[in-house]
Amino acid sequence: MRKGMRIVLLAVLVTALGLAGCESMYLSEKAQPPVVTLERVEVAHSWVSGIKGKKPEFYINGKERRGSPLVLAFVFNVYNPNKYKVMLDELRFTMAFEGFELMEPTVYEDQWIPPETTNQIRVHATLDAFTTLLSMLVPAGNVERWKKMKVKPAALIKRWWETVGDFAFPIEVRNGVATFQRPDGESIISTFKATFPPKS
Amino acid sequence: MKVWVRCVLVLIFLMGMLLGAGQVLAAKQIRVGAIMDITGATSDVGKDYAMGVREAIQYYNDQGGINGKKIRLFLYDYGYRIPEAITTYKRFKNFDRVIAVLGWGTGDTEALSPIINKDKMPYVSASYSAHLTDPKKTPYNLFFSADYSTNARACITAWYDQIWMKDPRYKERREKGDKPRFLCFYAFAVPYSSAPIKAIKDQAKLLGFELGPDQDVSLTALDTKSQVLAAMKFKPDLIWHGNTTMSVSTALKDAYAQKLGAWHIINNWGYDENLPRLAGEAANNAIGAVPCAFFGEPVKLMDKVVEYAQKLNPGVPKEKRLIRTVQAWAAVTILVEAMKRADKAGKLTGEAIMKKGFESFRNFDFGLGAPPVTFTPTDHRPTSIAQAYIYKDGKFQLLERIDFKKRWPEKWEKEWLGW
Repeated sequence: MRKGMRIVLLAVLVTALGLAGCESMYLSEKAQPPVVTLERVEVAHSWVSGIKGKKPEFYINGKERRGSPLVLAFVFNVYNPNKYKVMLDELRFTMAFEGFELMEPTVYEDQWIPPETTNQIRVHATLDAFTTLLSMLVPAGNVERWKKMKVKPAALIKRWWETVGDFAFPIEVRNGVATFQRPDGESIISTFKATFPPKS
Repeated sequence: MKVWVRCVLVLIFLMGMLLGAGQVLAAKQIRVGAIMDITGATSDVGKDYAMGVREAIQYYNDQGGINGKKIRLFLYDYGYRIPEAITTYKRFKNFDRVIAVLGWGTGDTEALSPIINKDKMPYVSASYSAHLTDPKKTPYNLFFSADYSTNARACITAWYDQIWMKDPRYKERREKGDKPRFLCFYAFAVPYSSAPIKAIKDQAKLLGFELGPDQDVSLTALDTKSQVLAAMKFKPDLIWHGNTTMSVSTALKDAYAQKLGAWHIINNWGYDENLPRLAGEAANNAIGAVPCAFFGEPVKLMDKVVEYAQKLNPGVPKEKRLIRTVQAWAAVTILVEAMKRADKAGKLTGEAIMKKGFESFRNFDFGLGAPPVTFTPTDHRPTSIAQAYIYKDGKFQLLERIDFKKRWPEKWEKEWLGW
């Protein structure tokens, strides 16, 4: 091999060694929790016809119960402030409409986030009018809340389904927790919360 | 070998070492599934339980996992819908490749039982149905607490021992030879609620009660006046409640408002820190089955339970956490211990987790205020001890701890397994 080629090969290897060494070196530093922020909420799919009519009769249709799906997409930014890549292991949050906690979307798809960069993740939350009604009738916090507001849960659901396209009520991300892993397997936990549309 | 070639080889080796050191992820992972109710008909108790499952798994991972292997948890909400639980289980089995499952309700656990037993999949449920305790029928179903039937027997027995036999208000009736009058409030069609009915009626007959007409109360009941009025005709001394906290609190409030005058005994999923918050004065003197310590009670592992609750779910105030968290820790703890034992014995398969793990437990005390647990190849009832508590003077207090193996040894050994 010619002398010039050897020098180039050695230089490439030394650089690669240096880069690999850098990441391992940074692992000795204290991990900073990645920052999760809500970019936006989208209505991915909605089916309002099941709850039409003057009275919210969506949960009884003659003898049959019928539903009315509503799918929201939550788009999050995930910024990794560390000097090494981290893997998003799990992301979950409680979704609330007007303060009523309705479901807990969770995703487990792994994704690596390079050092000091931002990735995006889209999380779908699928609701159904009938199952949402159940969520309004059981957890103590929700029951106390609609009783205090002096409204019927069915009427609230009808309004939400009909006006969600305009984001006419606050959609909250509560108790958000994202779990990350460093390349050496150590866990990092980030917490987050948000409201959409954001309060101006 | 030429010098430059040696240099290149050394550099490649060093680079491999550095990169490899940082890539230990995913190499040694143990996959566990969890089917939880966070939004469905039992979410009043299920949400807190699901948080507890996550927190306990994180704690054990921070302690080194299963002999150095981390646990990867896949937790999904099935909204208390049995078909969704079955679909989720199939995903666990075929795609997530889990080696054990933490389950939830009686309906889904019993529906999945034939499949998980065929798959040899250890399944630690939050359903404590006695139907899951006979290894001849359900060899891979487990839980940590006294089963619902034993709990129901304990509550009715504790009331009989401590109230009926001791309270001066009943002296005259006792001396006259009157029988205490008893009926049940529960959702007839819900497997969880109806699971211990046969056992509690058997116990009522054993103790000499007169039985009245049961009342059908929905899990989502917000009004139970008609059931209370129907019960009044029978003039019950004692009512057993088989639903979860929200529904039970409604029944207690209506019974209190209508001056029904009966005592109340409650299955464990209807009896927690939220009951007095929801039922107010109507919760006074309510008796319930308690499987382990309440959240924050001073038992060995509680510091960790509280610490991880704050660490993983900082948005939920400590005051709002429930005994459900502790129950979840108990379920996770017995599974972790079984997996550790199986792994040490050389295999981490479903069969090994069961035989070398769970079935090697002998009075295993895991520090969460629950009676010690024993599983044998012929008996999966975790314990013969059940605890009945009473809510009095603003706090939950032990009313009676009953060891059924000691009190009714023959029946415990020969009659009561599996129902």
